Amino acid sequence: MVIPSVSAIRPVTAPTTIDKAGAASGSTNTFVKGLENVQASLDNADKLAGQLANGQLTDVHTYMAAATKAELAVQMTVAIRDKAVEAYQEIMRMQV
Amino acid sequence: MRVGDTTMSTIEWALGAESERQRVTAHNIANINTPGFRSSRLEFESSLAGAMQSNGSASATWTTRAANTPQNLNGNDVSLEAETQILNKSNLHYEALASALSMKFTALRSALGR
Amino acid sequence: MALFGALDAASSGLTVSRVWLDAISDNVANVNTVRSPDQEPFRARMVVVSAVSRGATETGGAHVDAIANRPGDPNWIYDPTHPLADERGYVLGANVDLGVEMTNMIIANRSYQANLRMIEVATDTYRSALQIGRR
Repeated sequence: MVIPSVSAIRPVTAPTTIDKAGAASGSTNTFVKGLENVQASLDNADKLAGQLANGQLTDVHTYMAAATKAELAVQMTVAIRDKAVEAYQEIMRMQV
Repeated sequence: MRVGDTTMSTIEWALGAESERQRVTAHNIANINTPGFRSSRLEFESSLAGAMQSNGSASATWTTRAANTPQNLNGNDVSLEAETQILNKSNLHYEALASALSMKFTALRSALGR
Repeated sequence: MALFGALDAASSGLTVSRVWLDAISDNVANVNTVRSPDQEPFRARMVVVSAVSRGATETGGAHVDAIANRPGDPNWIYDPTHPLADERGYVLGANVDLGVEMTNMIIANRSYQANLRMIEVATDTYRSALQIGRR
């Protein structure tokens, strides 16, 4: 049985600069934009709820649809955040 | 995250149109004995179909037109049979659309695991 | 308010029908009312109805403009033994035509029922809107 020789250990190189959070490939920008959309849909649902209260709203289904959309948008954000946290924790658990 | 697609917008628009149709019908029925009153109809189906086929370049509108039903002796032309038929169908259509919209939301909820 | 606007129009239709029915029952109750010739005779009441304009914010419907007396010549009745009769023996009867009133009663009732049905169906529709998005 031939045992191959062990190659020399290469020196540890300094890590490449860690980009500031938010600049990495624009993925965080998309997330921020998504949050803005969620806020916009919540604001829209609130606006329609106000119109419902003061009698200006003509059709109640407009409010029901907007409220449901806002609720689901929030849930989606929470789901994405949970997945991101889970992924982070997975990485943290890795043995170096 | 924007919730909603073209289908949802179409369903919501159609809900508004059926609502307007019920308002027109209520106005007609309230005036079932008003002398000289001419009843109206709401049209939107062909406009909506056209807008869907144009793939976003045309928008749908609803319009009111005269019913052109026969007048009675004091000039009133409200046909209770026609209004009842329109009303019942509008109600069922509205329920179906509301159901369809709810099912879209249910599908999204399932995707979220709730 | 504009919300549930179909109910406002239908409710105005109910009011018009009810006012008409009230006038009809008043007429029928007074079909035999006589007055002495130096007074005004009982005149049958009729309702003057017009449509309320319907628009983006106005819900429409119908409206009673006035309750007017039915025009026509007085109904002279020869009844010399009547305490209210004048020296020629005549009294003034009511110009109520029972045939007309009965027909109108059926028409007014039908319109009342139609508006009631409109309210039922519109309420049903609004309720299904409230179910949108509910689990």
